[in-house]
Amino acid sequence: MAQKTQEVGFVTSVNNFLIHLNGLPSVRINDLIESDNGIRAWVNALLPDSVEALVLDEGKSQPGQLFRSTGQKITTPSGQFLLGRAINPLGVPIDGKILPKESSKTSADFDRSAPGIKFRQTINEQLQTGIILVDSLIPIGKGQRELVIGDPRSGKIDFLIDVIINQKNTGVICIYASIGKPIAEVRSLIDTLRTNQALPYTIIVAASSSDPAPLIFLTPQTAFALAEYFQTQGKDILVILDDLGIHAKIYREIALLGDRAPGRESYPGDIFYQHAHLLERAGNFNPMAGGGSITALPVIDTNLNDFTGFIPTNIMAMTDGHLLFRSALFNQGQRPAIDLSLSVSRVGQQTQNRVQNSLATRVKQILAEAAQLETVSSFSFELPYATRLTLNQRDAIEEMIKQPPLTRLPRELQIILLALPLTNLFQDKDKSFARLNHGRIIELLSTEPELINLVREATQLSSEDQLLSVLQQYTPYIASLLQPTATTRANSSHMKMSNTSATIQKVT
Amino acid sequence: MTPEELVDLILHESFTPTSAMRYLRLLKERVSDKLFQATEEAGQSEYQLASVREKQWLDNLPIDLFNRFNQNSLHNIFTRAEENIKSIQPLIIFLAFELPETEISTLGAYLRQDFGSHFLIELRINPYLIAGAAFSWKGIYKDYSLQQKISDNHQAILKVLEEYRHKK
Amino acid sequence: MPITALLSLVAVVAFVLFLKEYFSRPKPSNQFPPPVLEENHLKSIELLHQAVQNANDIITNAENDALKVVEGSEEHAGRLVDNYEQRINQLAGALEGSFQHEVDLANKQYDKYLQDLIATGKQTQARIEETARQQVNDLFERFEQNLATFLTQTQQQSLTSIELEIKAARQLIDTYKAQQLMLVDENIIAILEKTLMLVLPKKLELKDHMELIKESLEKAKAEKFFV
Repeated sequence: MAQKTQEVGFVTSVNNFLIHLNGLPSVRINDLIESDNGIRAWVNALLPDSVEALVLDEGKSQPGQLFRSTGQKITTPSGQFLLGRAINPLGVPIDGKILPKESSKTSADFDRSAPGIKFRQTINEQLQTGIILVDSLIPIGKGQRELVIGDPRSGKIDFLIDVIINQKNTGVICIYASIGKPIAEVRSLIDTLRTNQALPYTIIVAASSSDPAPLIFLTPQTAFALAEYFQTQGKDILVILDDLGIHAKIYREIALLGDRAPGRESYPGDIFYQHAHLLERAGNFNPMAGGGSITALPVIDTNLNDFTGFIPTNIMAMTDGHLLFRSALFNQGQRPAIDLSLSVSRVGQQTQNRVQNSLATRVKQILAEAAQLETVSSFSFELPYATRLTLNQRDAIEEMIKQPPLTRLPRELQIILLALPLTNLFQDKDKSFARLNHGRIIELLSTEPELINLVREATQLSSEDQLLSVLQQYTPYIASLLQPTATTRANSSHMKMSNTSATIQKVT
Repeated sequence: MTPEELVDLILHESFTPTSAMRYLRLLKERVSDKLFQATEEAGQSEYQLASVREKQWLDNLPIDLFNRFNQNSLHNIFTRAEENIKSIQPLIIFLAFELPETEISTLGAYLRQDFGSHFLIELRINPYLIAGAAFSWKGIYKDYSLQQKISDNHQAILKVLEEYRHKK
Repeated sequence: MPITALLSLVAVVAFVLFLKEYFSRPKPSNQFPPPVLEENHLKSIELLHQAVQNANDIITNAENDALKVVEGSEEHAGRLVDNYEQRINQLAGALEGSFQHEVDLANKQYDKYLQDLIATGKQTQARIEETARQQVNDLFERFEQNLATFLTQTQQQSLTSIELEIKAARQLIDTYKAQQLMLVDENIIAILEKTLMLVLPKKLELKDHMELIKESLEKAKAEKFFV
């Protein structure tokens, strides 16, 4: 039933999903307009003689078609009922279930401007990802923006899924924005999260590659709108934007259709603004803004490890650090396949406690030294003791920071694992010792009563030296519980055999 | 000939933007033919596609009209006239049926009595209106059709039907 | 005994010294020993014989003394043992007597105590039985009361909840009915509109249509729609 008086506009030109309309005198940007056959469009620009709108639904528009103003801005329903659900950027469920009735009562604004400096506070709490490499050496704080960048199939998605799963029982709400990914990937992600009981505190906002481009473009805004809704209630939110490269390409498509002047790599001039004003909405907020924090992990897929492209460097400039994933490391079996030397977290250090911080510094020093010594060591057979020690420690550290997917290491355990290579436990032992016993060490630290106490007290120590001196006392006990490697096993079995033969001789 | 005069001439005959543009194109073709002496083998021209009325109007134009154009000013005059006509915002009338051309002219003339000689209408068909009309003027749409009336009074209609049912 | 040993030792030492002296003397020539030496030799043999005899006498005396001492001490020891035995038996007798007395006393007391205990026990048992009987009776009474109250309450609550459920169900039915009736009304209007849409264009003439259009225009003008 049509309303008696409405604002209307008539389509004057159609260019794929971009339409220009005549009329709609008092419409504003981000308003929603709708045609008689149910096609919705979102007002993108107000030109002197026409209104530019982007069609959000599938369906053809024709010149002369009538569009009515709905009087509403683009919004998405928001509320607790969205936890555990998968929706598209307009709030329509895509997981086969309907939204409850109260979904129409609350809605979140898409394009809120980021809160100013007086609503923010210093990032002082660490986001525990449960992954030793990140939590110890490249820590992420709650409210930080950390770029996840790397080649396709370098383990970025597995890492992100682990981070989400490891937020169980921490009170952190996770929002995963799947921007233009194939629908099969979205389904597989939902299944993985459901299997690992991670859905109850996760919202998935997904626009698949088959959806109209304007809908894909809106995905990160929906994610942030929902994040802000929960953040104002004092909650900590983790927003993952996978991936912003596709978002940039979609925006380029929209801008080129809309006759915007192309800039570098044909991206429009305001591509930096599009991403920056989105990522600015992340941060750690003080009680004036509702408390809570929004941590953003934007993702970029690079081409052949080239992270010097336009969009990757843009995003690197607007984030507080990046985690660089390498497919070469992934193929060598390192999980997560993060290149430590090229990854950085500019804000995370201040969230770690003193012990972890100094331990991480020391470990990084050793790794850096070992990298330098590696080239020297390949030239000579006889290496000085100090060099061998450093290389040994490096090998042990590399084994200790490997972590299989879908596992979680608590912070205290991470501190001990990272400190162990600095004791004499791995001295004079080859690399296979650390690799063979890595799992056993974790098991011992989690189950042996004496070691459990040690682990519990790890964070309460005041310095790294104190920690190491305490650990040295436990290393003989730990060593006695570990498996020898193949070489030492062969040696010890040889000794056993010679002992047995001696006994036999004695009896005869 | 000034563009304004040309617009007056065109709008004297046409009441909708589409027909105004068609008349303009016809006239431009005729004037171009006259000025540049095109041969008859110039392909399918606008004149051949025009309606009887349009042909009559074109044929009955005074000859001295064509003398008021010259080769230099032709393009300019017609372009500005076209812009003028395009800049006129028409009243969009939604009807339940298609009006014949004579009625369009009557309706157009009727409206020009109140709104001036440069007033244009654009007609669209929406059978759901049943009868009457709906208008869209400067982006505002208002429905005065029978369908809207039924929607507005549906309670009363239902009451009447209810009474009728009880009587039976 | 030690005296015997001492004397034996002295004899042995004397013999050894003699032997030493004998062998350290310059050896006389073999053919014809001097008479002085012969004389001395005989003297020394006599002396030696005398010494040995004396030593043997001393030893014999020492042995006799030792035997006497031993005998004396054995007798003394025997007397001591007898004395000691006597004294011990006396003490034992005394102790036994007093112990037996104490035991008899204790037995008597114990018997008395047991009898008192039995008596008290019997009394207490009777009292406990009485109290238990009373408490059980009280308990049963209270239980009956509580059960009755509980049953009444439960009945009331279930009746109330059933009533509420019925009310809610009726409300739902009413809401549903109202919604369906609204749908039906809308359907009626829609059918009406459709019918009119199909019929009116054929029934109404162009003139009538034009009049309706003009009427709409006038209305719009009156409402100042064309500003």
